Amino acid sequence: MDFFVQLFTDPVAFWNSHTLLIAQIGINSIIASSMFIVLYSGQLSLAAPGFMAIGAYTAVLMDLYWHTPLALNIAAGVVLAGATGVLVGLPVLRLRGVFLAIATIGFIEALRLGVILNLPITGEGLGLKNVNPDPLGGIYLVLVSLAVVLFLMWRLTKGRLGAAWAAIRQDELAALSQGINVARYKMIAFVLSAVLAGFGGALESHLQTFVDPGDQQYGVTRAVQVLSFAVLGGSGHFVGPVIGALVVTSLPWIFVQALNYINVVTGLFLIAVIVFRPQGIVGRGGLAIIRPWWWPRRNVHAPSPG
Amino acid sequence: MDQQILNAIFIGSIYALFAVGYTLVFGVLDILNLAHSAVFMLGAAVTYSLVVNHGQAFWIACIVGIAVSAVMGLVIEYVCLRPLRRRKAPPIAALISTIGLALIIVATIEQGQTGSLFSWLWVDGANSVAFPSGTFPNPTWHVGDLTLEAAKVAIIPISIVLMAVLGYVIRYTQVGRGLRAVAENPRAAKLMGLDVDRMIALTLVISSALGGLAGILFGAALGDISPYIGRDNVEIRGLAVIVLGGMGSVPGAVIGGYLLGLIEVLALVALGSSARGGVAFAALFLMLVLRPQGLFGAQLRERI
Amino acid sequence: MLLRLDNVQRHFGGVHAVDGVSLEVEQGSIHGLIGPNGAGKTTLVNVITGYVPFQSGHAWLQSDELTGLPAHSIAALGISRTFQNIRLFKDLTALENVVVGMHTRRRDDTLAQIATLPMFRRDQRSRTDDARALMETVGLAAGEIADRAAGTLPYGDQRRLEIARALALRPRLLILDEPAAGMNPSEKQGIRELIEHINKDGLTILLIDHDMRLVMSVCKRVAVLDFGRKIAEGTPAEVSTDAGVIKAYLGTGGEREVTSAPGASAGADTETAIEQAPSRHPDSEPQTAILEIEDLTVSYGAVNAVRGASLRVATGEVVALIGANGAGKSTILNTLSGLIRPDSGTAVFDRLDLTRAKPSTIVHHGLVQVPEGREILARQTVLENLELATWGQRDGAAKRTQIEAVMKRFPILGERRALRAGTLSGGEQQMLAIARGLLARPRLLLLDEPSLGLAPQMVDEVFKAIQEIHDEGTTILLVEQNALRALEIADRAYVLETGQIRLTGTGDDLLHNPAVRRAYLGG
Repeated sequence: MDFFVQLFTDPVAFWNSHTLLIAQIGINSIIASSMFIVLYSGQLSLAAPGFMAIGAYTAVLMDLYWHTPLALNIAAGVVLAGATGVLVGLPVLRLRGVFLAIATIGFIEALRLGVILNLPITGEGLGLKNVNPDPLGGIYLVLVSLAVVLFLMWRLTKGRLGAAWAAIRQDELAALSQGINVARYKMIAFVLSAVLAGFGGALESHLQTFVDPGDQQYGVTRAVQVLSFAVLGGSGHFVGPVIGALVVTSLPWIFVQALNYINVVTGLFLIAVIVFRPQGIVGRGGLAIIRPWWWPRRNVHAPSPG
Repeated sequence: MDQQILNAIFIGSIYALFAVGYTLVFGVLDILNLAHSAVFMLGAAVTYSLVVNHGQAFWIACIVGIAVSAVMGLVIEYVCLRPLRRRKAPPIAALISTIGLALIIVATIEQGQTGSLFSWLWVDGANSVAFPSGTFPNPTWHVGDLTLEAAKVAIIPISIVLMAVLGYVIRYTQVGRGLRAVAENPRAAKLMGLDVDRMIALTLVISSALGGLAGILFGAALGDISPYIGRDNVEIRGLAVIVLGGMGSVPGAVIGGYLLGLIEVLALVALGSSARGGVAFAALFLMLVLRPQGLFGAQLRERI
Repeated sequence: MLLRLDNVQRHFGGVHAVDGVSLEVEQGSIHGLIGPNGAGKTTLVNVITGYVPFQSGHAWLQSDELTGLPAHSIAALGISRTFQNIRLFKDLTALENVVVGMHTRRRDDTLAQIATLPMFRRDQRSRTDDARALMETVGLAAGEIADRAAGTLPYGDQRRLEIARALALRPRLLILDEPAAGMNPSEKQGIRELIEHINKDGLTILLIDHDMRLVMSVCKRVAVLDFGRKIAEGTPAEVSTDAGVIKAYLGTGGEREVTSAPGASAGADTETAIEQAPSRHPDSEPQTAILEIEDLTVSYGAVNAVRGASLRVATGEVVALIGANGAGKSTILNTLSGLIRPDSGTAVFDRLDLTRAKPSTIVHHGLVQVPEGREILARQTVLENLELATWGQRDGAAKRTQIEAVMKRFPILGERRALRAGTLSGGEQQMLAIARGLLARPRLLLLDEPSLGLAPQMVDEVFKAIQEIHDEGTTILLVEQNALRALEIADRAYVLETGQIRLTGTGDDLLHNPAVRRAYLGG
């Protein structure tokens, strides 16, 4: 509870002592947005950590070997992640549901275990040292980026693209009957999600002193964590996964005593949410839990993931 | 090289045994039980704990370990699966609820330290341990340049017998027919008087018992027991196996298991030990892209 | 000619779903496509709209060739459709559903979105206004339901919404696939008026249905399919008196003098006749019944499939339940078998409360259903299917004797015992399904559309078997679209129309009842 006390009574001090947390929340929110796009279009892709790794390693390697400016490094990471997204997306987008999830897991682990851990240039198992990390200053870049990303998400869901994605998620065959080129739109979502994940990964690496190829960072464990953002927060509205990221990332800081049992709590949350409130905390944009009495009520049902 | 092939056969047997449980649940319920790898680990952990911390005889500990795994199957059904079926949730939801349960199981074991809440279950925290030598008879023979440990060798007949028994049950017994009926058409099964809920619970029990047993075999013969053995060894390889063999096909899981063991060994020999990890996933990816139904699975199609 | 089809072929395995169909649809007209269940109508539509590939033949929309194009391209060319089983975007609001329909007419506005130009806001407003207008056109109260999730709307509104969505595409051709399924006569009248209304401005419509009445009253020309082939085409009057058409719809059995196909007379009196008839004749129902259903109400999602139905079956009877597609007959049977739970009402079988019991308990108590579409286990052998039917019975020897007995009654099953059930023909599968039902030792056997999709000779065989089973003493509740055969074999019958029991009497009575004859027996 001291966490909240400080948050509300002395925000400045809170900011200073929790910079890392806030930055991590920001990054996780960007990655959560990556997850949002694929889930919003009905694709259960768990590929985010793979694209994050590509973004991260590219950015750090460029800095290490070519000493190029940060913006270029991140841009390169993003482009490379996007290109990989196209390559991976083409074959896997025909797959539905569980099969897509499995294929993307295959991708991230093949990338991590097969490529990253074996290429001398990535430092193999030892990870890569980042010579210019900026854990405290980087937070401003993160927050500004997050704002831009969220704006993008907001506008996309309002436009023709967002409407098409929502339709595809509900019923691909019916979407086809309305002239929606399902394959193309799914691809767009997948690549966009790869770009966002690459961006998040590159940003994250900028804040860290070294890039760690472990399971917790770019493996299935991370994929599950990112999935939990979207499940908890709900993927029917662009704010959902962000709220999910906020909650999950802050949990260990709020309940310091229960730190050890964080995973147990996360697991319980996942089961409880998926059984009792599959549309997540945010649902379809009602912020149902935190609704002031004067907020207009919409009588809608929200989709569950997948 | 031949030693590696032997190892491939041993580990392939474990993969196969594990994957059979995976595929059984997929075949009957059309869902992926991602808590299966946690049950694999739990079987090994419980057995170890009983022997080392509670002084039980190995064989008794094994039986209890298998029993605990079987009970865990019931937990999976009642906590993760049945509530979703009642609410007509899509199959993806079961994926998530079983992931949640897996998290809980692994984290619980991880936190098992002396003096903690779960010390009766496990005290070694995140460490990897092995059964002390002498826990079970494990003579070693040398044949040519091959080293054969009895425990590893025993995996093969045990696995084969179990898979044969399961195959027989599924193909020739009334219970097996019932499971196949539920797998093919739950509605018809209900109309024929089968208690589908009970069949599903039975499927989970069988599957989890097999998974737990695979974990015990792994832990005993390969000398590695930790909260992460499920995740590191079989969680994703299990997926690769059932994709290769065809999801829902028991013979496919068996063949897929040995196939993966073989592929990994070949990769090891050809590309060195570092490539071993990625090979499974590359195989998985390729199979999904080229032939999603695997070697023996059924074609998937949506009707309009 | 707006739409032209030339010798379209599509088969699945050995089944010729569409067997060389050629068709021309005149611009601005309403063209009907009818045929009994399984005739290939929906497959044909799926081929035209690009969901199922052509195997041979061609199709053109004016000068644009449709053959080989993917579904979304065909839609973009200007063909939109509704689906037999309503495929709305259930979790999206009604308004959003219609807006999605505008997809092909919208420019891609991704960049505009990001810049939030004022122009975009204006566009969006006009789009929502258009969508509301479309909803009003199809008879929906846009103000009330625009923001409701489509899946929560009442059935009739959902059907209309799907039409609104299809219209949003501004199609050249609108294909309506059974738009009035499951509706009562007055609701159907509403759909009829809607169709005429949207055709008024020149929209070409292809209407698929098997409800003769609807199609005849609204279409300029009608094509009739049966077993994948076009067996007749012409004006409604010509088609409804065509001998081949009458035979296809009535099925075989009895040489009856019929002058037109069932439901063909479009007059309004047909509707009222049955509606006004009292819904129950208490004297004609048995006092003691083994099955009693009282005031049963069952919903299926948004559809109120069964509304306050009551019926009784006494031991040893054959009771028929007839009615059109979507009337709620199968829903009643599924409720009796415990697969669906009713909203209200009671159903008791020999003191067992069917509304609460588990499906397996119900079967063991003696109420066994032979489901619609047979639902046999295709991957298992005939023998395995039969063995499964005796699941739970302990005595191995007794089981074997029973199985042998059943195979003697249906010799085909004996011959094919080692073959996979999926390889049997439709009629043989039906025999298997009935045999399976018998093995469960039913005291009351529920038969759901046993003649569905069967060739005439097989229908004869099936009904002969049913008669034999009845003669041996089994009580039977028979649901059938083939009203003629059902009424001939039944002791008593009930007529179900949109979820309500309209009429009841002995088989003979109903066979001669004029309203029933007009609606279900061809006059």
